[in-house]
Amino acid sequence: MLVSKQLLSKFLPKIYGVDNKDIVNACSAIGIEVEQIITHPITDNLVIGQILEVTNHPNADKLHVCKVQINNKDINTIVCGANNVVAGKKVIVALQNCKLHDDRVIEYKELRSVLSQGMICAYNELTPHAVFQSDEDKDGIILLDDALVGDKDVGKYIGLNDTLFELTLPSNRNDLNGVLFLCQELSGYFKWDFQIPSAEEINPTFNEAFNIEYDVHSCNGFAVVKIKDIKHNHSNWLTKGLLMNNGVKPINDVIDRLAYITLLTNIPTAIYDASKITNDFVIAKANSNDSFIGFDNNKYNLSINDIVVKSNNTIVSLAGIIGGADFGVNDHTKDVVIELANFNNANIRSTSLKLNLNTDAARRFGKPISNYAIELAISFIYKQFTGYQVSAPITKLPKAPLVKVTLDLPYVQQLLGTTLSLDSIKENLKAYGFIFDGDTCFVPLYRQDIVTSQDISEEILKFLNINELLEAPIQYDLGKLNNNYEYYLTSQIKSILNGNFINEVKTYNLVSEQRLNTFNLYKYTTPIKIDNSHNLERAYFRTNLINEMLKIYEYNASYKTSLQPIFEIQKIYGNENELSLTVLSSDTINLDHISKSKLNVNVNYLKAIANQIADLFGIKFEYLHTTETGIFYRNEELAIRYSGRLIGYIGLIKQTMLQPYSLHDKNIYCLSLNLSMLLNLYHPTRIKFNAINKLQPVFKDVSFFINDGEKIENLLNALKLLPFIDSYKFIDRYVNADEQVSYTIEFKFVADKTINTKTIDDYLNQIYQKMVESNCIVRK
Amino acid sequence: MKVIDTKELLTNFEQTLKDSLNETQIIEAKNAFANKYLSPIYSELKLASIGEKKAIGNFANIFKNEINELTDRYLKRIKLEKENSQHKLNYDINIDNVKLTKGGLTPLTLITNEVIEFFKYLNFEIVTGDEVVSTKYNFDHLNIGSNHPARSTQDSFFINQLTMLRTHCTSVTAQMLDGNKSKDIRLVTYGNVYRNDEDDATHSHQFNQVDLVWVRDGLSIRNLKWIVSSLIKHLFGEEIQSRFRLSYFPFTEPSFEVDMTCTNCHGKGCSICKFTGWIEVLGAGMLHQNVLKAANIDIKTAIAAGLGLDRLAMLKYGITDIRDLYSNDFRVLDQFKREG
Repeated sequence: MLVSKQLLSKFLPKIYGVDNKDIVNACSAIGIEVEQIITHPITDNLVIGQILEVTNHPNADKLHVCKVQINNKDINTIVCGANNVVAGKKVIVALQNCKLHDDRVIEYKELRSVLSQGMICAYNELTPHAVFQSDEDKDGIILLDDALVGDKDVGKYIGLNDTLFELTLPSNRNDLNGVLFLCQELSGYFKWDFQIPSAEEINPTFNEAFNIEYDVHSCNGFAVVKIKDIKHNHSNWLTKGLLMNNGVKPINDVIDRLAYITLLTNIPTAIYDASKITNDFVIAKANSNDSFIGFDNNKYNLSINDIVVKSNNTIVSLAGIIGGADFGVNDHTKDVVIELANFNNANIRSTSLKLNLNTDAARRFGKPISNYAIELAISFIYKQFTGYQVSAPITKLPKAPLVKVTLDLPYVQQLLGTTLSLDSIKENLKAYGFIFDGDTCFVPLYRQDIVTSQDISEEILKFLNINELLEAPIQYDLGKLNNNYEYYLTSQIKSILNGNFINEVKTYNLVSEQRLNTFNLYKYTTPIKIDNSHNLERAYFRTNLINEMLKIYEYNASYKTSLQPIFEIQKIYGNENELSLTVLSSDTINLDHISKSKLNVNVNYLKAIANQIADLFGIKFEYLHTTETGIFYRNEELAIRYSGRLIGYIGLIKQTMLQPYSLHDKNIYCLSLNLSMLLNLYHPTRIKFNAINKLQPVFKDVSFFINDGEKIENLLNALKLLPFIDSYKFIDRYVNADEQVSYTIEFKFVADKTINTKTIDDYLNQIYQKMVESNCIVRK
Repeated sequence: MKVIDTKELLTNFEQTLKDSLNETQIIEAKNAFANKYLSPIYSELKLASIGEKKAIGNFANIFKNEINELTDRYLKRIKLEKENSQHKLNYDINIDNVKLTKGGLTPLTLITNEVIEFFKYLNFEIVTGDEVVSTKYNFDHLNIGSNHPARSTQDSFFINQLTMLRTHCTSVTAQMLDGNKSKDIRLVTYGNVYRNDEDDATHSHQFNQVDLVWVRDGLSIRNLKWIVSSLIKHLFGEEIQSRFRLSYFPFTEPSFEVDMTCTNCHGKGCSICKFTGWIEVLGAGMLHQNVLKAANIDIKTAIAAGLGLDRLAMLKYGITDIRDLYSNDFRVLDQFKREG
């Protein structure tokens, strides 16, 4: 919202004496944010002149030569191209050396052999803040009637001496878009005397009958006023300047007067040519096959949620948004009918959004307004149109019940942390338009945001000033300590991954349909579809993280950045929702190209990382060779299981799957883990201490060939049955000339007692036995 | 006893040792020297009379020790040389080439952790919750009536009429409050939230929030001020001031927007704070009675606040384009490895 100091000063004259900074503070105290303070530039070497004579330029069709009186002795010859130049009018002249806001410097110069001594100015040549200038004024110079020739202080004639405040209002205070209501709040803050003028003062000059019908789902109030014999003038520049400073584009005298009323009351008006409509109005929802041609000459197809105003059974306007092309005012209009209404704001919002018609009226009607404000607007019609013939209003404006709040003083005191007395509250809230009877508070008629004592407490803060209230630390018991396992464990997992050189990434959860189905690792069949996304790229909640993570690799590879291992932890929504972890890494992490130190990543490396996560929960994962995903190479694909349930995969992504990401020359390994299941397993006592053995450990190495096609897990499962094996590790792998693979395992034996050579031989024999049974050839 | 000049002999011997290339040559040289000069003395000793034996014996021992010392010295030297020549460097220890930084966290996680750290002190329950929520908790329980502009389907991602992606973490707060019978509820919710919006430098359809409530009889706006300004100080430093402005949110009354001293210009005024010296950092308020009623809670006072984590991260680290938080450009992420 744009509001100017001059407009405020019409009701709050004292505001002129207030520093802009204090106005900002006042706004902030009453919940309004000042986004920007705008002042027009001050330009030197401008003067009011009077055009004495206009002749056509001898050498140019479109130029005029003007004689302009610029003080009581000098007359300058000025060449001017504007089409509205006319003798007798006062104008604003830029004299020699005048530097305009766009850095142009005016000099005397010959224009087609006529010396021009200055320039007659248009509005946008004097200020950069001219967005609300009418198109007509853009092409023409400023013409003034009442101005003093020779006056160098020209700003005051066109409103350039004003200060503009760009405000953001609290979203529940639509009423504050009306300057009168804004003034009420400001006067409350500054403790100035101000009262909103009475809505009952009306001075009709004739009566005219209208019939009004509406349904309560479309409309909460409707009123019309007729004005006869309108004049087709332009407003003077003082009015135009004021309107532009308050965000209104001037059009003509009648419409500008109505726009001014809208500025004061936040009630938009619609205006009809009385000769084009009949005196009956019906406000209702449109039919599904209705269409309508707006004042902008566009055709709009309507639906049953759009509200329309009909007269003589014809749609004359799209309620609260735009008038009809055939019913508006033109240069021949004699009498007009003015409509003031209170339409259903939700319908106005949806229609405006649907038809992309974001008019000023639609913005104001898009939120609740009060019938009281309409009555106020009607009373201002009589003030603004003095000298006109204005009919008595025909209104159907049900009065809203007076809102009474019984002030719960102890509660308000508690909420605010103060001991403020009822008398003090009453005294201060009066200035904001509240009236008290005992502890009953009557809310101003235009306020629809106040229902309870809690709402009143906000009003109290306006004069208490929140920033003056002292902070009070909260005394609290520790109570039952929160474990916060999900947050704690997720952080721990991130820490484990970081420790393994893996970097966290953060990607978007919404994906296109196509992206959804590639890498659907867990074969989810009921993904979550977004019903109303504006963007096809955000059609589904993803079912895996791999896609978006590969896009990271694609992106970084395109910048020739070497690919680092990455991980992401996010919620995904498949058949059920889960917290998913995915790790991606290329097969080599180069640490130093000179000394050739590097990490080789493969399935077993990722398995080791998964094991670190399992350790956090005090559990062991099972890994099973699988070929079920179709995403990984069949021989480098493991399913991760815990207590019989699939909880993840490790694998090398197929080159063909990487093709769309331009990563086909890379080997990229992937670990995917469902963390939701693990989080439930955590218990603080997951680590069991085993007393350590003081006896010397016994190690023995055994080498063996494994027959081609034989699975090593058979041997490993068999070895699990031998109780005397404390632990083992693979220490060598060797392939002989016949391509037979040999492994060496170092066994550590349980040493709960001193074991002799005979026992050791016995242990070894049992191991050999298992090896033979598992189709291995022991190399003794 | 034959008088021999051991000094001159040893000088010559040392020269031989100096010229030796390895341990074998030294040993050989020693043996040869001892055979030639020391052995004859011992032979002489055997034949010597008892009277001479002592003097010859002493002389032989001194000479022998001198030979051994000299040999040992040169053996050591050659060993050292050998050790140094055998251990050849294949790189230059003066070049820092190995990159061995642990993995990093995203700026969003770093800022989330910092905020949550604060609430851990106060023993809050920390929840991330569901991102797919019911309109009941996203709107109805939060005093956002069916006619409220915030419910526009234009602004939120809907799955159907009753289910949607959460537009604020407050929806999870509402869910957690529903039917909560505790007399002292401390809850902080964090995570992704969504708006049906196009992405640009300051808007993202997916972003992050932290939402907190403390429900307990007797809490006041002054308590709210304390918790909010303490949090801002925790995040940005003790010297940072906060300023409260009245505002409007459906689920709190009164509601505030909270500004902090501009971290860029320290309040002097700059383009980042639009020359006001203040930067908006969070929203807060006293939880609306209707929210407590909807949750079936009979406690009358509760403080609440919500922070946009993306904006917070941008302010804290000086990031100007929100899309940098989601681009996962390694050149961006690498800068945050030192943190956390």
